[in-house]
Amino acid sequence: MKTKDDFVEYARVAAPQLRRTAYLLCRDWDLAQDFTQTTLAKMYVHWERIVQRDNPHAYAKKVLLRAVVDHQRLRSSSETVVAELPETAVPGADTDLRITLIDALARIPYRDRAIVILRYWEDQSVEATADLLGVPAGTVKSQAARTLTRLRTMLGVDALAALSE
Amino acid sequence: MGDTFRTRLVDELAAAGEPPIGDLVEASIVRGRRLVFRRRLRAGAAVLSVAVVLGLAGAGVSLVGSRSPAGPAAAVSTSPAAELVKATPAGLLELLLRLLPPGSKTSTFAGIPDNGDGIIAAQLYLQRDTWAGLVRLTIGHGELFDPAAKEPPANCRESSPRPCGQVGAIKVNPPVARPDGITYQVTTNANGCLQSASVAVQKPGGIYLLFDIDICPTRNQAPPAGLPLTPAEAVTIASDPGWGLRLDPALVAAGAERFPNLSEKLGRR
Repeated sequence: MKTKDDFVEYARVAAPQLRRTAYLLCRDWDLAQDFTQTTLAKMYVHWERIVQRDNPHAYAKKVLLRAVVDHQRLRSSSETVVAELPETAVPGADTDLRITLIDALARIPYRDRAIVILRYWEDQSVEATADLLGVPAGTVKSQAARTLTRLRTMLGVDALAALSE
Repeated sequence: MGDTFRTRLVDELAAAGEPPIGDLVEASIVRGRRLVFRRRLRAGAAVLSVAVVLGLAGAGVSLVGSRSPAGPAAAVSTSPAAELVKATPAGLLELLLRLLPPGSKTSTFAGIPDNGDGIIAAQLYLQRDTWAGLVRLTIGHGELFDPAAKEPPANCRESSPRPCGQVGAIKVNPPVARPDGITYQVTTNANGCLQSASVAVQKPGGIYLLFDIDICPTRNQAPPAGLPLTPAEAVTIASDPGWGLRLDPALVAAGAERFPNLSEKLGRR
């Protein structure tokens, strides 16, 4: 698998998954589309080398995550950072008001969101997650646990079982 | 843990409804080709730099930012007696503002300075009547088209940086060579709003300009019916002899005054 035709075949299969990951990280379908396009364009340039030496999808995920992380770093440099975002209580009995996991993820700080997305959506190892985000492995472990606890709280009692470890 | 987390997210994404993926793959291929093309340009620039250091480039050095003797007579931007200075994104925007068609409304200015690769970018949001979109201008030094692609002008080959033809909704037109020495090539994307049109203009003396025109609507708005800047208008703008990696100092000064804190973040906000 090394021709440009093979690239098109790969891209058609991989694009939706890559775009979903980007969306979960940035919560913006337009941006997610752009990150995915950037990733695939870079893969197009190096396609023959990628298929010879690497696992294409692992390479794609790495390029995508790097693009999102870099964008977020650039963006966060001009944003006001607050120490802790307010958590709102979610009535467990009213399904109309119950937030989704996607909504809950959007309410936590970017780095914490990235850690759980990388760990539990992308199945990245602790070490790979730490490397991508530029934080110590210990931070990934501790923040992943804290973030899961926080997500359970935000999602309400019903979600405890679903997100139990 | 990962399975339940993932399953729940998959369900939620499915329930929320994803926007159609559209021509993402085709647009990626075009963007990939452009990356290849720019890498070639950088490689060419590096060769030129080495030649300059070795004293082999001769008069070629002065070609950067030089005026085209065959340029349009109605140039608005040059003061021939002034010694040119290093171009800045703000200077490029200043020149662009002076060359835009009458009635243009502009905002959302941004620019990326030359980071050592000999390429400068500037961006603005342009509105004309009901047409609006981002216009991103990239300027650099190099040859966009191989000589064989210039004569005859409609010579499209797979070996050229931007092979002509249709990939999905994306149409890459043949390069057009004008009598004044300018060669340009228009790429259009009938379905996509990002990079709806791209115009590559090669000027005599090695300066090239790339216009990327993005007409993505803001959320909940219908896409505009037309481009805020047509390819023909982009070529006319590019024809001004003032463009270069070195600009008239008055332009650079005016740009610095008009855009004292120019953002380096391109893209929609």
